Parts: sequence; structure tokens; C-alpha cells
Amino acid sequence: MRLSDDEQRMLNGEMGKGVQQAMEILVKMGELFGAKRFLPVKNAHIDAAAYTTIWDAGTEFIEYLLNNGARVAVPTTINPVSRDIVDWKKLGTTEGFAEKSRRLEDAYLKLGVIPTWTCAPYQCTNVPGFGEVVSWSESNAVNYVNSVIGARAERLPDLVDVCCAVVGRVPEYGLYIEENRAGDMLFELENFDEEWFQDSVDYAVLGYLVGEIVVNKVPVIKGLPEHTMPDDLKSLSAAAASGGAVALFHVVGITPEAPDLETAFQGKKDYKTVKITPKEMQEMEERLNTAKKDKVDLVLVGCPHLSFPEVREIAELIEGKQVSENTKFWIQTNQTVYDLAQRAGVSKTIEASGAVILKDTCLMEMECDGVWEGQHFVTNSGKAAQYAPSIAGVNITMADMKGCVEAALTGKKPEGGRLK
Amino acid sequence: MIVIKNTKVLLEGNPKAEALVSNKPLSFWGGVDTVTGRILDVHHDLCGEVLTNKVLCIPYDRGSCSGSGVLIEMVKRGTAPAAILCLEAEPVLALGPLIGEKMYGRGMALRNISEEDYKKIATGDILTFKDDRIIIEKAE
Repeated sequence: MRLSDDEQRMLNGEMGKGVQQAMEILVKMGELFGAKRFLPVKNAHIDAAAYTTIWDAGTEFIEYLLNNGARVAVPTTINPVSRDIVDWKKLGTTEGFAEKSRRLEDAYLKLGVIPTWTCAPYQCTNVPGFGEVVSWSESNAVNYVNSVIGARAERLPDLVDVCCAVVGRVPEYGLYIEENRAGDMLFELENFDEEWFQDSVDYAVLGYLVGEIVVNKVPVIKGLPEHTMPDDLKSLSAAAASGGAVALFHVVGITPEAPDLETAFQGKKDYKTVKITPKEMQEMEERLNTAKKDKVDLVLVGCPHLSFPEVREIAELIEGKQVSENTKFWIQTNQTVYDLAQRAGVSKTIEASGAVILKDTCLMEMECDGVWEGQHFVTNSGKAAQYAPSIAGVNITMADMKGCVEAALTGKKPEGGRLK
Repeated sequence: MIVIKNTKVLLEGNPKAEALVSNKPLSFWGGVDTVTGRILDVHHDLCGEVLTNKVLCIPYDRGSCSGSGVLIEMVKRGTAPAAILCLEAEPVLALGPLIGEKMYGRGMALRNISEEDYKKIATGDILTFKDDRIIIEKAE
């Protein structure tokens, strides 16, 4: 890699041992993945926040950087942690586990992060511009800023995200290079009537399906309705980065690098086309639906964290009603959205029903030693449908937001199955 | 005995270990237990297998960016695979062991191989790494 004078000084240790360590790692990564230089960034997002993502080894690495003088060099937002910072005791987190999370939170605060503790920073606290080079991690967020906003990001590994924030640079590789942003495969939606794609769960199922097929290439999706909303694309981003390793997708007529098919493929003609019909969607959903029983133990929404409009939708659906006494309803968001929900009076409406709003965390990143084993979760998230069975040992039913609320109120699998 | 030549060496190290082969990509975070080295992903064909000290062969990684966090913890605990073989490994697989090596003095080998060579390896084969070559002893 060709280094500037400043970068060489960092590598020589003139800015301290912490910065030197970060630079050594990034130079090595750049060399392995074909980067010829660094790109400066003015915006970072760290994924490596939850204790259950980086464990003791990752914690020791962050503390090594901190204790050797490193601080974030650019405004840096950060992912959820392994506890609700305010209400962790109510959620059953033990003191010993909370301490492990607190240790990591403290290290990050000293490192200088903006304590957003959210996996959807792009909806409330960190919105880059089109074409802006950012160093982000968190698979759903990378996919979203690349695809929906048109910023330049790559799937930085946890801990590398911290190194980039510390040096204010990222190796130029992969999707930082314009020509790699061209579509590789076309997904054509066919025979979907107007009942489809009215709720973000359809986007989740589509995202998972596309991710499985395309794995780590760039899919171009044609045929989504004009009314597609950012929350829908959030759902698609998260699922495509779980079913596969998608870091950029284009939706023709909707996302900024895809005003038309030709632009999405940067003029390439030799791409494969895959047709998606309701049949493929239904088969995909059946594979994600691993639950066999009718009784629902927990309804989980907010993977990724809910936006304010999504929280308000729940309040409208649940106002004046009660969550079944045999069922939990967990709603995941961040403190920023929760503050808005409090101001608007909707958090009160939701909490009066017996539902719980989790702030700054995520069930799958909390202490989880077998407590959910064998339980039946209903969710609208393709990402949760991928990871919750593996992490928490649960079975899944996918449902739209109305179905999720219905399951919470009745304690039973929502009527009609599927998404409707 | 089959010899694979000209592999792309992403992480050095020359282990000899048994192959565990899949054609399905895997996410380490939410897919592998750091304590036992067991694959937990219920949607993966290797679910239930322990990858500690094995050569895990997956075409690609996928899913969470936290794969590096899981792998560095596995390196620290001694539960990591001896090596991973891919068609195309992304940084999420490489950087955890790379940082682990800096911190704990032990890592994990990582190589990219061609699709043609990938097909020569089956679960149970014994693989011996020699820099950019891999020697395959077929299982009985």
C-alpha cells in the first residue's frame, strides 16, 4: 500500500502505540484484499459493541487501544450493547453479565464514541450523504447505507471498524471502488398482486431469498412497488445480509444508483436473471418457519431497531388492549427513538398493554444461557429468523406487524399463516 | 494423495488436520459457539459439528460482521479451527485470527482455493498445509 506522510507516521508509532496497532492491522488487511491506498473518512459506525459479539478477547483489544492512547478520530456512532442500560435488571440480566457489558461500554465512552447504541443509526443519528466514504460495520447498516443512501461502505469486520474510527481512514477495496458497485444478477418479481409488499415482512422474506442465491455479489431487484418505504428497505437490507453476505443491492426506480436497469448494471449485459414469484416467496417463508406449535412464547420486533413510525404503528394497533399473560411482547429500539415515543405519548400506550420496549440492546445480544430453549417466537424479521434459532434455541413463525401484535394479544400463532 | 498448488495464502500457518466440508456459506456470529466450537446454525448442513482443530471448508462466509469477534475469542480460547478453506474469504473471516495472533501469539490458517480444487476435498480427508500447497490424504 502507498501511505501518505501522516499514515506513515501513524505506522511508525509517532501517534502512540494504540494508533500504531490499528494502522498495522489496516495495512495488513489492505495488502491481503488488494487495497493500494487509504481513503479518508469523516464518519464511522462501530459494530463491535455487544459483549456477545466480541467477548473477552475483543474487550481486551479495545482496552489495549484505549490504554495506549487511541481515541476515535472522527464522529463515530455505535451498535447496541448486551444489556438495556436502564432496565437490565427487569429484563433478567445478571449482575455479573451486566458488568461485562458495562466494562465495554465504559471503554467505548472513553474512546470517544457517540453513545447511540443502535444497529439502525441511519434512521436517527447518523445519516451520511450520497457518495460519502464511510467506515461502517454491522451487516444490515452497511447494506442500507450503500444501497438506500448510496454512501460508500464495505462489510468491515468487528474490531477493524474500531481501527478505522481511530485512524480516520479505510483501505480502498471492494465496494469503495466504483466499478465493483455494478449489479451482478437480476431478480425479476412476477405475478405479485397488490396484497404483496404492504408490510416489511415481505421485504424480509425477499431479502433472505435474494441473499441466499446471490451470496456476496450485487443483486438488482426489479418490480418492487413505488410505495416501498425506508423501513421496508431496512428489513430487506438486514435479511439479505443474513441469508447471504449482501453489502449492496439496487432496486430499479427506487434506490439512488438504479434509476434504470442499465445504470444499475453500469452498462453490463452479461448478467444472469432469476425470476421470483409468490411460490418462491412462500417456500422461503416455510423454511424460515420452524415452529410446529400454536402457543406463542414471545413476539420479537425491532431487528433491526424500530424507527419512530414503526413504534407508532404498534401503539395504534395495541391501544386499549392487553398482551396475553402467557406471552411476552418485546419491542427493540434505541433510546433516541424511545425519547420520541415518550414525547409523542406512544410509549405509554404500548407499555400499558404489558409489552416491553427494550432500549439500546437486542435479545440476541443479551445474556441467553438456555433461557429461551425450545420456545416459540413470532417475528417480522428475517435476520431474527436466521439467528434466534441458533443463538437462543427457539422456533420461529414469521408474521407481518399486524400478525405480530395479534400473536402478542392472543398468545397464539396469528390466523391465516404466512404473511397474511 | 492429491496435491493442491497455488492456493492464495491469506493467513499463514501449516497445520495438518481433518477436513469438514460444506457447500453452504456460514456466519460465525450467531452460527458458531465460541466455548465448544460447535456449529449452531439450524439452517446449515454442518449444524452440530465441532470445528475446533479441523479444516473448515466453506465456499464463502456470510451474515454478521461480528464473525471476526467470534473468531478472535475462539483463538483466545483454543476452540478455533486449525484452518479455513474458501473459494473467496472476506475480511470478516481473516481479521479476527489476524488480530488474535498479535494478541495471543496463535492464529488460524486461511487459504482461498479454486472451485475445481474445492471439489477434490471431502469430509474426513486429512489435509497437510505446506505454504501455498495443500496435500490431501483421502479418507478410507
